[in-house]
Amino acid sequence: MKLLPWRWAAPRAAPPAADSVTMRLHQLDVQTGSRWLVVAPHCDDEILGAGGLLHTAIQAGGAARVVLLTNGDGYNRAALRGQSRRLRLTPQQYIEFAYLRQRETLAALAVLGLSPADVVFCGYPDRGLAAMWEDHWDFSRPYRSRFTRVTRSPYENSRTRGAVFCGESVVRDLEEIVREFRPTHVIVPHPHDTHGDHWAGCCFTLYALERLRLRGRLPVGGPVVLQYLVHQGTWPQPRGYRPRAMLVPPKPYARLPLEWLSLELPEEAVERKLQALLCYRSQMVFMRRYLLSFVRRNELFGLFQPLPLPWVEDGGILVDGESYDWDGVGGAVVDPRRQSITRRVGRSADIRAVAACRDRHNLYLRMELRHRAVNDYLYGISLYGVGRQVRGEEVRQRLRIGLQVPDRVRVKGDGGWEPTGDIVVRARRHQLEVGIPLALLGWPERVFLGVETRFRGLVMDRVAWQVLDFVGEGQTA
Amino acid sequence: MIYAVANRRDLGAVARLAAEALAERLGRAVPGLAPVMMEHSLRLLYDADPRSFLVAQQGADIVGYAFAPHPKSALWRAAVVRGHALRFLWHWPTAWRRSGLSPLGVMPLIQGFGRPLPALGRPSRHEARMLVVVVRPDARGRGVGTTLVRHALRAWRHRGVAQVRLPVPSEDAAGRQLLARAGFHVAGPLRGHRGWIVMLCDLQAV
Repeated sequence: MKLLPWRWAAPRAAPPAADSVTMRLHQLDVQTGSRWLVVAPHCDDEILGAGGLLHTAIQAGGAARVVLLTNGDGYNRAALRGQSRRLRLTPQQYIEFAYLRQRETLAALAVLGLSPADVVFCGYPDRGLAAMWEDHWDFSRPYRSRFTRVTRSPYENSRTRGAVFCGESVVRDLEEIVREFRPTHVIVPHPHDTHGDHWAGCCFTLYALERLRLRGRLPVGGPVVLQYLVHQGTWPQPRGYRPRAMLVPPKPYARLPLEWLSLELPEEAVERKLQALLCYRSQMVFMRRYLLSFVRRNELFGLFQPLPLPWVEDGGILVDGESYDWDGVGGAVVDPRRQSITRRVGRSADIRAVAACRDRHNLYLRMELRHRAVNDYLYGISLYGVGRQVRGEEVRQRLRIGLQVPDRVRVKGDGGWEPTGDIVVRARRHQLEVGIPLALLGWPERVFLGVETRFRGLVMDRVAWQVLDFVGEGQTA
Repeated sequence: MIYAVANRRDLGAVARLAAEALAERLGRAVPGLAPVMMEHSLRLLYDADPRSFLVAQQGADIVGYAFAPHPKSALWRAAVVRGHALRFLWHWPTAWRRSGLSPLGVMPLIQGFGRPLPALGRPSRHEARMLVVVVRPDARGRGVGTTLVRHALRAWRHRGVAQVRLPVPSEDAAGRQLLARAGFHVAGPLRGHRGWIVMLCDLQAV
């Protein structure tokens, strides 16, 4: 006889009622004079995330523009397999398929009331945005698409003809679009999205906005940035077409200090959203249930706010991998996801939380892992600083730190790997603490922070990218 | 300036600082005390309690350190298991014999300005009695020492130490001032030892 663990035999506790998830959902109101810029990584994400909003905004007399960063040319294997006998598609087939998806996009947005002039195709590579954000930033090191096997945009209708597949190029495109359109609201993917194109699309847009703000090209306060979630585990639940059901954020996000806005859609908008979604025949073939589960009676948006960085007194943090001197410094980033891969095997690679604070000269980071830090894993911290130096010249320092316990620190700046003694790292049990002189980051005003763990180059866990605000003169604790 | 717990790689720089401080406080170099011996001594102390060395790091170089060992450190275990006792015996005829010191005697010598530290009664696991703070001359006057002492006190309190009782030579005015700034008070002269005072810090009150 096989004995079951006692937990299995015990009667299951009743599942918590839906109301017990206390998540504050504020109402989003669409005003008349607003100008809405929707940035979508693939064709169809603009409908999934903001289709109803686009329709409502245009009905209310606002202006809208949709930017499609990629043409979704990589996500068609399943769709094309039926038609093509080849196991591996040729680049030409991928490109043709991208044109098909573009036509679907134009048709879908026409249903919502947008003219083709309001749609911008950028033509960047599908599933390449994350690599461009992290590794292929300069024009000299472009990314090569896995699908179309080129390093420049092969599409003749892309916004920059033959746009180079690199991060700088994406940011410049987005900057120009924002300056032309002058949006009051920018809608981007959510940084907690698990799809690389989605979170990188968010980062690129925020980066472009930061750069414009530093040059004084944005109005005071800047546009409101809203974020929509598409890929997050099995969300949205339940799956399927339920137009009367409510779309609520994933449950683990209740603990996070994120602000969620909800837009109640009138019935006509829901119907239009469904019709627009049905225009994407190529995607409906194999993702019908998933896509239709976004047609709900509301749409959800996270409100973007840069994280104000807490100040501590000068030298107030001892870099020792202990948390007692971090009393009163709140956690900056919490990772709500519990990856199936790190649940048992790689617990040391599972990041639970990242906290950050600063004093006058240094930035301090503390990573909390699920288990003792071990040297099988590479703990990577990426810091992209945006700031302005004395003479109005802007600084863009991109710093990537690879930590390997006990004390191997690799710092990758703009060129090549180079060891350094300036960054201090200490690990103790399941905590890692890092002290980074701000001079290395070029005294930034905003810093994009990303933390990930890798096992031989394979990403095990990743925390959503955050924007840290260095400007606010905080009180000394 | 970044304050951190020292790791093994910092010990070389710490040993250099300690040798300079010893020569400065004695007014002369200790005959026969080679830099390597200083480093051996620090390695033993580090292995006994790896969290006892705090360093202040400016850029890539270390400008100050504090040695704040936990009263209950694994000195014997480190000496035997990590081979420090054997190494001491091996080096004794050629190195340690001439200086008249032992690896454990170097840090008290720095704290006592060349004089051996007087005993303060039976050791207790709740009372720390050793704190050495050294700051490079060009970095003094910027609060590095005070911050190091503060961090040492917080680390002690976190590790369960209730109070710190330090014998301080009465000619060490700078040291007394530094300790007073960090929250110590003078408990009185040390009975039976002329020229020493006792400074006390209650960690529960800090």
